[in-house]
Amino acid sequence: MVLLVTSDNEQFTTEKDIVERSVLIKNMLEDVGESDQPIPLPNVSSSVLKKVLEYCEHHRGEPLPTADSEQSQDETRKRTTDISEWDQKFITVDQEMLFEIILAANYLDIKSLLDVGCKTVANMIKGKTPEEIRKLFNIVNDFTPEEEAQIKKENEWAEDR
Amino acid sequence: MSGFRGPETWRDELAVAMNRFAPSPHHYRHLRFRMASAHITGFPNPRTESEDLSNEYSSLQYNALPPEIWLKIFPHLPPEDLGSSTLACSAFRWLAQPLLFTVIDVSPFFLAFNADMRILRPRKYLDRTIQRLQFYRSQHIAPAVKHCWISPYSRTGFPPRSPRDYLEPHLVIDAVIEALPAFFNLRYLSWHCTDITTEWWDAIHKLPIESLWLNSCLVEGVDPPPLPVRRLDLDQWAWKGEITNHVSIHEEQSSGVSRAVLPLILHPDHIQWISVPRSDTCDRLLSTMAEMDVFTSLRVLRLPYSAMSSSCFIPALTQCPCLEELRIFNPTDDRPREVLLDFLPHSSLPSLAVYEGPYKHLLTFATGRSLRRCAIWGLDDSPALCNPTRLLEFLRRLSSINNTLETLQISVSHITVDLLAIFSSFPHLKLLDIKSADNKPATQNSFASYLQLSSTSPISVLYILLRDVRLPSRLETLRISTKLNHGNLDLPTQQLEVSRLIEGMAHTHPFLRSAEITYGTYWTGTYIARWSRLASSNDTAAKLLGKLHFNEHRRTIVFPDAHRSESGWDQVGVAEGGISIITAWLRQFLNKYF
Repeated sequence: MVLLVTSDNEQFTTEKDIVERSVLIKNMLEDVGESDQPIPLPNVSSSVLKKVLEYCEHHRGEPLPTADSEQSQDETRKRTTDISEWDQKFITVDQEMLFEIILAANYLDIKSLLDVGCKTVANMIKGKTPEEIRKLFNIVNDFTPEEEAQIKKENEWAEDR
Repeated sequence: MSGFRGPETWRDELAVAMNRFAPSPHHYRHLRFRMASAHITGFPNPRTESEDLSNEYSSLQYNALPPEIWLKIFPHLPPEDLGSSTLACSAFRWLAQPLLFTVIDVSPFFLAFNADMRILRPRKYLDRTIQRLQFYRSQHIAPAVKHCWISPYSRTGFPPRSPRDYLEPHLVIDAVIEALPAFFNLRYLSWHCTDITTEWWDAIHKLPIESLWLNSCLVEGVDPPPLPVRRLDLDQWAWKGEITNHVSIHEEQSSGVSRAVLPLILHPDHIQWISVPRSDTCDRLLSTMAEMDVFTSLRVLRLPYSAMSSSCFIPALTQCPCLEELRIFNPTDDRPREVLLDFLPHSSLPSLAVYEGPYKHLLTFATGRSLRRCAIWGLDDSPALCNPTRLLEFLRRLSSINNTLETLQISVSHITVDLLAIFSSFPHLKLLDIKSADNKPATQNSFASYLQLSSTSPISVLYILLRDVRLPSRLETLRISTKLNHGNLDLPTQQLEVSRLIEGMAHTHPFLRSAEITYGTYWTGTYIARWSRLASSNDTAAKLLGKLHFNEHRRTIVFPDAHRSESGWDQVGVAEGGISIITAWLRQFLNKYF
């Protein structure tokens, strides 16, 4: 069993093979060895850790991506935004939680969860106009009309043939 | 304002990030905390540390995700959505725009379908190319450029042309070659159907190219310097910028990549991956390899079927002790060929992990005891199908010498009872993929007795057969595709039958995680049943182990809409219907039987 302490000082006790989906924690456990010491996670709040552990528990036992497979999958992975059904349901949360999960997955180094999060954000962007994207992420338009025209022109270079 | 960082600093940092496009999270950790410390806990965030951040970044102030996360999101987007993202705000522009420009693609001339004459470009194409290259060289784009594509095969389609176009192709290539040193992350060069001059080769060999795709060309000059690459594709047909396993019909008239080029690009210690579907180029490759030193890094070799009858095939293979994957492309024509390899000195062949090729030579490569993946075809029936009875004999012998196999893919003319039974002799098999070309249940084998049992549809006969078969106990994935049709079964009955079958198999094969059954033909409609085991299948009350998606894909005639234009007449469209079922009748069925 592993003891985790979140930023808001909540303690989570979880099984080693669940929490080891996080490469960060896996490496920490390997460095520290068997110990009852709690692992502090100052960048993760309890509500987020709860979600992250739910994900890890569901995917426990699945092989971790290796550097090798990562390379070969890289191309296909990039082009598809398919998310498995369970993951889809899991990641259906409000945007704040989604972003927090992504940040936690990045920090804890859980590649598959980071991937699911990033694909979800990509899916949110798909088919939207620039204005809709701004609205979606609460972004300020900092372009002058000239700059906008300039970028449109630049992007056309990508389609030239 | 002491901590102010101007736009240039931010862009520099981004440039550093772009240089390592897919880094491990560790690389970024320091960056993330510095740039996003204010955003980590709250959302949306007040502009507490905004003074520390540049104007460029200010458009992202209210956003909780730091740049390096956006760099992982944007690659999932297709070009049109990337374009929209670049127009949302300047931060998105710097992050997303480079992804639109990872490939420099130029066509100094075109080769149109079935034309062996070059089609030249207009003069203004050169001016545009020079302007384009100028933009590619801008600070935020240049690090993202990874692939240079100089080819008469357009990646994106053909623009309108005029017979008065006369641009000398070399001028375009000169301009590109001159620009290439600016792209320090360029690793991939595709060069098709133009001989490489001494000057061009000198420039290319100074670039850190790792993957090279050459079609029909030679290198001019005396003693050109070598370009040791890791991955090599020779004389492959380019379709929309992707490599296919075929040979371009344009190039059948030409002689392919010249023999003199091969020693320049084949370095025994560097090359890891070679793919050559063209027969004569492959002959040249094999004879070159046979004469060189031992290839210490070569892992993957993909060759045409004719390669097996080359006298240099075995000498070349024995030069590759680390070879893990051998893939033999099946012949695309129907000319009968026979390859005899039986005299092979088995001991000197590499110990393969992956074999794809004709089943008749499977055993030659299966003796290494490390074969894990196997995809086999045969020449018993066109196109490249195995006769199941003959295949059976080989699989029997394989199972006696090799029990490490985890993945098996076969293409057969039809499925038989005996064939299905043989798979259980591969105890470690995790994935089984059977492609069958049968459109009616075979009558010459024990299928016949099943036929008498049932007056139902052809596909149901296959189900009856599958129901009784014992597959490898650790099988996780099963894929079967057949051309058998549904007879006259209505859709709900088809769904019931397939779900009945798969749920039954899921009970007897506890490791089975997914199953896919595809049947029918384009003309009668194809049906796909995809099943995956539910993670929490502890719900014993329902007794359902997984979820099934059933899709019908059929051709339909779309009748013209009275209010629309006349061009709608006679349109043939494809309609797709998808239903996801865990329905009451299925529950009833399961409660009855389990």
